[in-house]
Amino acid sequence: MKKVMNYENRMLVILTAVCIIFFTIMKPDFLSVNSFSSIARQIPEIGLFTLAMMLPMLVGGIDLSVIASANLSTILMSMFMAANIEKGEESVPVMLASIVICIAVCTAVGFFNGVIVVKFKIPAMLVTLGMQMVLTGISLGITKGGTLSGYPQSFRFIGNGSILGIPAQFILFILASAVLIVIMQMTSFGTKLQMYGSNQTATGYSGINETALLIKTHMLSGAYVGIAAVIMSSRLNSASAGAAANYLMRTILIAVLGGVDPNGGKGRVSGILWAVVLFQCMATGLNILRVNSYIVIALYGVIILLAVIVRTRKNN
Amino acid sequence: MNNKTAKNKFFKSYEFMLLCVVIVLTIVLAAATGGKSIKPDNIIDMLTSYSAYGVIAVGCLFVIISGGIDISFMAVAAVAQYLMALYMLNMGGNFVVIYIISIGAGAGLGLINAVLVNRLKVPTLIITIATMNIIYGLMMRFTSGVRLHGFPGWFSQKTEASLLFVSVGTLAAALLTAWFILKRTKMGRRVYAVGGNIEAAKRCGVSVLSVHLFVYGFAGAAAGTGALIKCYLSQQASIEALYGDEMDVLAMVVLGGVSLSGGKGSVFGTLLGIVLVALLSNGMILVGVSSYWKDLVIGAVILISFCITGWRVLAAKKQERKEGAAE
Amino acid sequence: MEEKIIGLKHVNKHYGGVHALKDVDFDLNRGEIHCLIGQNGCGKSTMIKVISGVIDVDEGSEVILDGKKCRGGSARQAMNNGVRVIYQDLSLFPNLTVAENIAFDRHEDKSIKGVSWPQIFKQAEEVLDRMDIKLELESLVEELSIADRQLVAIARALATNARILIMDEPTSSLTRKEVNVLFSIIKSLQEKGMTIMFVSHKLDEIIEIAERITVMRDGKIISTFENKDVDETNLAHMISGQEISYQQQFTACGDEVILEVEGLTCGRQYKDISFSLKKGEILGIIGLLGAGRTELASSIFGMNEPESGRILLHGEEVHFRSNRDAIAKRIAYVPEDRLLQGLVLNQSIENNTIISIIGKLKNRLGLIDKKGARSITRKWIDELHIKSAVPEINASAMSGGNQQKIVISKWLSTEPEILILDQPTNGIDIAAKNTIYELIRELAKKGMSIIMISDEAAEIYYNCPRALVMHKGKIVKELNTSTITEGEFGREVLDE
Repeated sequence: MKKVMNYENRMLVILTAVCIIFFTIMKPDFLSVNSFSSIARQIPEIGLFTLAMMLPMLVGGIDLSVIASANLSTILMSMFMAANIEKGEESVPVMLASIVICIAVCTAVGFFNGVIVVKFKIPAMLVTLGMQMVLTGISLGITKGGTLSGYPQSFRFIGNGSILGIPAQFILFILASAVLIVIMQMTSFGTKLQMYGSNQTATGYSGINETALLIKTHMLSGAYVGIAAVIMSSRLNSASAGAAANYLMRTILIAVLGGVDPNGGKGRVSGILWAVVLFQCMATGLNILRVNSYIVIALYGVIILLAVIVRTRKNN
Repeated sequence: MNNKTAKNKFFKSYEFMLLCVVIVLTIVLAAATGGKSIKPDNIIDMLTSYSAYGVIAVGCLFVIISGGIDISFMAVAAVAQYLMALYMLNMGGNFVVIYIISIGAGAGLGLINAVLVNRLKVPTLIITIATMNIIYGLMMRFTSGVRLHGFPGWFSQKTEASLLFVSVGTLAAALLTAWFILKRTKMGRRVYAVGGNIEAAKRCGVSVLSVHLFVYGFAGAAAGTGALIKCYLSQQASIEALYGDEMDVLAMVVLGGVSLSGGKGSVFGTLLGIVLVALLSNGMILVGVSSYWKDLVIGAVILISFCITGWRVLAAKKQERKEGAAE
Repeated sequence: MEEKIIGLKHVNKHYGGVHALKDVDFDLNRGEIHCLIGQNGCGKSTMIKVISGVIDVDEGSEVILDGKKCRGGSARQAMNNGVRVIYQDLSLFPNLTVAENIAFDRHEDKSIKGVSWPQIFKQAEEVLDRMDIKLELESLVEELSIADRQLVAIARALATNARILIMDEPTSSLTRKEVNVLFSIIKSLQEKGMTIMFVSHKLDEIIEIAERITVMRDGKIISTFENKDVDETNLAHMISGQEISYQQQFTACGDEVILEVEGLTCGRQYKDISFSLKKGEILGIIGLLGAGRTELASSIFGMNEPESGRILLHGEEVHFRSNRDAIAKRIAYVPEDRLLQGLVLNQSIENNTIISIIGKLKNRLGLIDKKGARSITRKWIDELHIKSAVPEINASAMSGGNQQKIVISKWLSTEPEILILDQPTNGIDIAAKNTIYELIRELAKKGMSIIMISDEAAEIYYNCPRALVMHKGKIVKELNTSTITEGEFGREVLDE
């Protein structure tokens, strides 16, 4: 009765295989340790951002403030570290405290998004659009458009170091994904979330606390933004108001590719994981083939449309 | 009797509230800058520099009334601007021709959006994100982001009058056209109908495809026109000049009091929205606030206006619940 | 004048694998009021779509309009032929004014150029004058009451050159007085030569208004009658397809009072409601949609805060801030709209069953106790005899009756003391209805107190020893059903 993998995920795996074969034929170098370690280094950030995007999409919303939130939190984190650690010195407690600050800021942003969405009954798209502007505004105001850089060595390990040959951020990503799978599949919160996304009225009648559920969803999403922000900032060794601006579109692309229904209800962590692998193989492959980066941007747009078209066809 | 209720309605409307905010803000700014903000020079400067985005906002208004959202308009505007500039550099031309080119190019790209929105059953945000990236990516690939300048004399020699005519004149024309279409044409009423109840519109025989084609086509044409104004003001065609400023335009429309789920919104409200954003941005410069804080202020104003709108809707619903039902 | 305006001959319609219309023959005569009656899902809506030309019929079927054969085309085509449908949802534009809604067809009429507001208002006023009603033309439709919206929808149909008016369940949300207004309008339209097809499931109204009645069941036309040849009882038999052999089966209830409501008032929804409910009692509340019964029920369930009055449980006053408080006090509510409010259709039966107790189903790690969830689901599937139910499959795969049982099992799993059922057999076939009645009686026997809300007199008469009649937000009567006949009961209910 139970299948190892559902139809959508199988399609994603097949597409990934096709992708790898195609790029290997075009450029045999693709099948190298280098490209795979580059893929493994890039998957975590975009993957975590997409998981953060998936949560509000499951309840029929979207979060356009994820990148702005990540940038503001890394700027604050960077300022905190700079204020408490002398240049060239290391302090693990301060570093841990700054990571906590980073994740807390993003979670707080999620909290405010959730409160506005649920208390004023405004579409999440508009709330997070406004929030994105506010957050970017604060980041710009603080940094005056500049870039904060230079983290202690121990912090840079998160985004650049390896444990037993596996990139540190990849291990973090696997852990965070596993936690989210457990939350979605095995806790009452996860079940309520999916039920709510499918039919808000019926779950309300069943005694589910809509306010708490939506706020928790946005806060959880915020926490994942925070983890992604730590990894990203560590890898880049900097923080700025305009970092990773092009990630927003990619997270939506991967979420749609991974089978999240933009109208709410449907979507699985596993789908996102396979989709992010497919996406990163493609991105790395196109990079190795030296395809013009703007063509790649256009191609991503085409892929969103194709994913949507295929899904619309299937539902008919 | 009818007149009185209409008057009462106006005083309770969002537009009236917005008008009060605009007036209060004008007075506060005038006081804070010692009258600098209401000098004719500054007013003209403000109007010319915001007219480009104002025109684009008018196009956006149509999309939002029809129940959708479009964020690809800046990419569309960039294409129109480039085509228009290329034509001028290579063929010369005159104002009539470049208006036709920029409007035509914008409308053409808008029609693509329309077909996709009509055929695919996903939020229009996701569709227009996709088209925005496709247009932007291809555009950058084929132009390498090069700026175009050095236009013919008839375009580059600006006088005070021509400047006002191209910027404020075009904005006024766009507002009047939009008002006429929405109030006085069948297509305008169909746009409201589709935004209000798309199923009912279909049952009344409205062709939803034609409404989508019109709405997104109009938004594209408005984007193209806005691009022309921008090009005239800055005397160069560049992608960065427009791309990335989507929020400024959306802010104007959203502050103008559209319904967040479609079916409502007025040209007058949008005009007030345009003025409000212009006042805020201009006022901050005059008061001496660093431009880096601009996004924060406008974003905060947008969030607050959302909350007020949302709260009003909820309060009205609560009232209706108490009064309705058993009659 | 027996002249056919629309004729259907051997009409078949398939939707995917569903045979929605089976060899249907049907005539509509010029200038008559013809009622189409049948249970939900019997093919009434498909009939409307065929007659109004919205959908095409299968090969070999014939639809004849004015003596000419026609294919189902677009909605526009049908409108040009003078066929107008007033759908149950009214299909109005909430964001536009009354005047524009009424005159909306001007926007689609190619012979009219442009938009002339004076003309729109003039036309709307003329139509409303013809109907002899008054509405504020400047108001937005979203500001109107349901009854006024209904009138706007009719006015819109009249504003076009409609010759045939099809009304789909037009009375479902009207009070009796408003129904009277509607009927007098329908009669005056008929006098002016309009042909009217009236689709409903309410027997009394149909007998009152119809000249001819056509009964549908399972996609087939059972028969067509002259009004004088039938009465409510034999119509009911034909609709359900079986003799109703109900008997009042009452069980004695205890003396302990569980719930008391004292002077409960909520704006214009309901006023000064007082009643009590005993342990093991089945209390009926009968009233039309809009009589305030659903609003009252949701107040007891904590989803609609009353303005004044008291709710007492076991003699103690309670204040519910949300339905979670009510659930904690062991109150359960099966809402009237099963598909929208009752079930999450594309989720599993198991999730639908445990959703209300999911917070309590925890193992030592704080995760969901999957084994416990499964055994609870299995238990209710067995106890309620939910046929062909597997915990993993989606609720959408089940039939209407079984879906309702899933909703009931969701609430039974919360172990309620008071169970409120709002229209529990809406759209359920007769056999499934009986099993649900039996289930309700079983639960009452075990000591559960039940409030049953319905607008079907028979349902209340045969299941509830005591019934409250609600009208315009007030309880106007308390009836002891065991001392009167069904006919008397029906009259008492209608006679406000």
